[in-house]
Amino acid sequence: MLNIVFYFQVHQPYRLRPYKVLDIGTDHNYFDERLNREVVRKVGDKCYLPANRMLLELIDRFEGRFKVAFSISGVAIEQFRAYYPEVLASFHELARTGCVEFLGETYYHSLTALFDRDEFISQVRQHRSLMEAEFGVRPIVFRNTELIYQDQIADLIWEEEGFKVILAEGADKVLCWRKPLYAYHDYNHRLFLLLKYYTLSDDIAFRFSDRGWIEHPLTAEKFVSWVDQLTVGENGGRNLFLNLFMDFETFGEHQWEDSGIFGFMRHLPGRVLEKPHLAFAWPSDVIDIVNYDPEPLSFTEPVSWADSERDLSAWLDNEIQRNAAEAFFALFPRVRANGDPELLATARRLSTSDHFYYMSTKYFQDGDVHKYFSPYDAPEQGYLYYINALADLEERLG
Amino acid sequence: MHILMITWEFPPFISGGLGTACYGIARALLNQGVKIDLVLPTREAVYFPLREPADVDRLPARPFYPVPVPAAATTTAVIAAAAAVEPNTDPGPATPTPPADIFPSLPAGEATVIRRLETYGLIPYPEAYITPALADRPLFEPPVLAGLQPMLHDDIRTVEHYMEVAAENLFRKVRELGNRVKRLAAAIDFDLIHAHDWLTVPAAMTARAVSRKPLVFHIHATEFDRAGGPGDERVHKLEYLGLATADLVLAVSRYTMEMVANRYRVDPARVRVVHNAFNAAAAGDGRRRLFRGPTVLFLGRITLQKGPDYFLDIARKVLERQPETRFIMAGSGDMMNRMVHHAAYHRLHHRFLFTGFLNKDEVNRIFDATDIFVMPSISEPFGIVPLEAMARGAVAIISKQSGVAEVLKHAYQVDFWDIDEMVDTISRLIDNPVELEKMAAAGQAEVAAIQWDDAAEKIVAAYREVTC
Repeated sequence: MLNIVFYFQVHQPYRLRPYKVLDIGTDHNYFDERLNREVVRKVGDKCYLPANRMLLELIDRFEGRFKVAFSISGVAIEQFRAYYPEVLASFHELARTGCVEFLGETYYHSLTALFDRDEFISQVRQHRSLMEAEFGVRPIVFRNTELIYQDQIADLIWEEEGFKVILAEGADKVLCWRKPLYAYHDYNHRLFLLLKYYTLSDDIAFRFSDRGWIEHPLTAEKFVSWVDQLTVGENGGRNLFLNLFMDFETFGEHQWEDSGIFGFMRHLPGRVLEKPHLAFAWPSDVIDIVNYDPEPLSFTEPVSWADSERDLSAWLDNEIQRNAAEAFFALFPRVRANGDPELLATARRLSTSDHFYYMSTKYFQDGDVHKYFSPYDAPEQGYLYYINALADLEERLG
Repeated sequence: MHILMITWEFPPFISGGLGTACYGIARALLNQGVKIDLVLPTREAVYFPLREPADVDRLPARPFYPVPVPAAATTTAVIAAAAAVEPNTDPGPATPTPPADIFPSLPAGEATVIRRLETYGLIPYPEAYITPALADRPLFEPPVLAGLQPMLHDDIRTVEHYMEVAAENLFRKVRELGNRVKRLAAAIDFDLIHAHDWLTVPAAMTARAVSRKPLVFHIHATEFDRAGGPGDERVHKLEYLGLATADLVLAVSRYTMEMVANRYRVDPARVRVVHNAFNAAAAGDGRRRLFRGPTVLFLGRITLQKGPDYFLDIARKVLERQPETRFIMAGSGDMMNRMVHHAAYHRLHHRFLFTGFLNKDEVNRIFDATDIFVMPSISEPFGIVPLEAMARGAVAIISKQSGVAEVLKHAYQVDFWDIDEMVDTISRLIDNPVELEKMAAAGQAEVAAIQWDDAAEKIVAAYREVTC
């Protein structure tokens, strides 16, 4: 049996406004409310609402045989509540079908796992409480920000009661000759690991509308025929897991509606379920349906799902990213000790990984080209607003 | 006395100290009764007749086509000039008087002035400098190129080409200004020409040739200062031409006089030193801190000449001893990105901040929050900024390689390269708030006495030398 495990990431950061040095001490609002509202409304219309409607129809049609998993960051939920309540309602509606699993993550979609273990655990617990309050479920599957995973994270998650499964990237450098189709254990044999099958995931998430791609256009039939072939090598009757992990914004945002992405997704479950040896599963199903003793895998170095490097270089590569992250995590314990809940919530919004992602210079050349770009296009601009905000935060600590 | 003043920038559109200085000089000259016809690198054929001190803010403009307009004349120039004139001013055939102000009843609000100046083709951030990136330094060094795919080489060549074109644009504008002044100098009457810095040299020389009036060339900075050594050869040649053809040279400091004497072999007997002053800003609403900790400021173009890298080194060393200190690098320039990355590389966290370009009001607010102002310029012909900072209560530490050092007693003077001395001075001031306060008060009193009127008197004396 091959089980297709769909997991969709839903996340929206609090983007920074142009926060200037002269704002320090007088204006403590670091975030661009107008922009954030605009983005949430736009993505809500193009992706969240139509895609949730589509999933609801599919769940109805296949009466429980089609199931998916979501991981929704706390900051995304906050912004849905503030800027587009209908989006949050549509996730509630999906939750009520009982065919959707909700995963655990850090509330602030943060890099805390790499810098501050106590804060990491706090944010995981905060997110779990949110899932209980919003959807009435207690996640037992964990996925860290941007699928960043290494052995120490398994140890931290194991100490949190209730988590049984972790999702990670099926990176070649860890798997070597192994296939990402099997369930694995963490290096201490305590938690299940499900690894993203990145070629087939990225066929949907990145290549779907690429007209230069030799397989374009991708149809549900073609995709299922590829999936079908994956089972050929398995003669021992072991249950396989095809882990298709992607941003939920793939539907209608990264891949526009006119690319046919919704039509593809509407046809896919029917084509899959025609085949007797194919099914859909949640990540947590691995606990019950794995029928072999999983091999332990050790991730000595951090692995993520970002960029071709699949490491931390999207967030922590150049000097400005490192300085910003080190400055934040050096300051943060003092914010927590200060005890002001509003200050703490603001600081935590600054722990979101996206801030560091915007500072990436991988695709920019140094020099004075920056002045030809608008502030938001230059990685240094985002960085300067960020450290200005940190400077103000420190002044507020008293 | 009626002068034709040619400059490249004038508030509100400025990119450096030149515009600020011209503003102070013009206002003080008007106070002395000098009439000024101001010429700026506008795209439209206008000049700015300044007759009273308040005109420096109003900037009344006048098109300069000498218009005996015959009814049949339909050249585009005349149409353009007529169209620019208010419909009720009749430039009729029999009226040889110059057209009135384009907008006679202009409110003095700065926003209106800005909007109007933009219609004349002035740009808010005039390109007054050939930055190293725009000049002869390659955009990418050979080791970078070696690792790249051939396709990317084409992209780099394209970028380099456009950068060259940008530099060429500056020279094209310099040439255009010269052509325009040729018509203007023939159309209006004046006693002498007062031109500022190399960008106006072709225009000034043209005006001198057309009008046969004396030329006073005012040198605010040389290419040696800007480039920190030999710079763009074309600029050097223009500076030399200006210095050689002028009837009298004004230098903003003895430092600059020595520079033109040593580097351009100008006879010091033909040079008069006129120190700059500064424009006392409208009194602010007092000092307002941004940070609880001591605040140290750099303000200026972030470019080699100004020594921003020295400021960064100073910050590193002070922060090792006094981590509660906050450093601000204000301004923009070709080295800004490099400074941002260097400060990050040294992990100065959020203790070293950048403001980007600041307008006049923001500059004052940053001064109000500053305890110690540092000007580590490698070569500063004058350097008005420390005066402005001191007037608002900051203590200044200035490079000995500056003109302003000649007029200041209550500022610490240190060689720009002597980082340890600068660090010791800053650290000592931080540890001794009493000394800091005493020095700030003394400095504030000292700069209050520095007036453009003194400079204007010297300038008028120079005018007399060439016109009598």
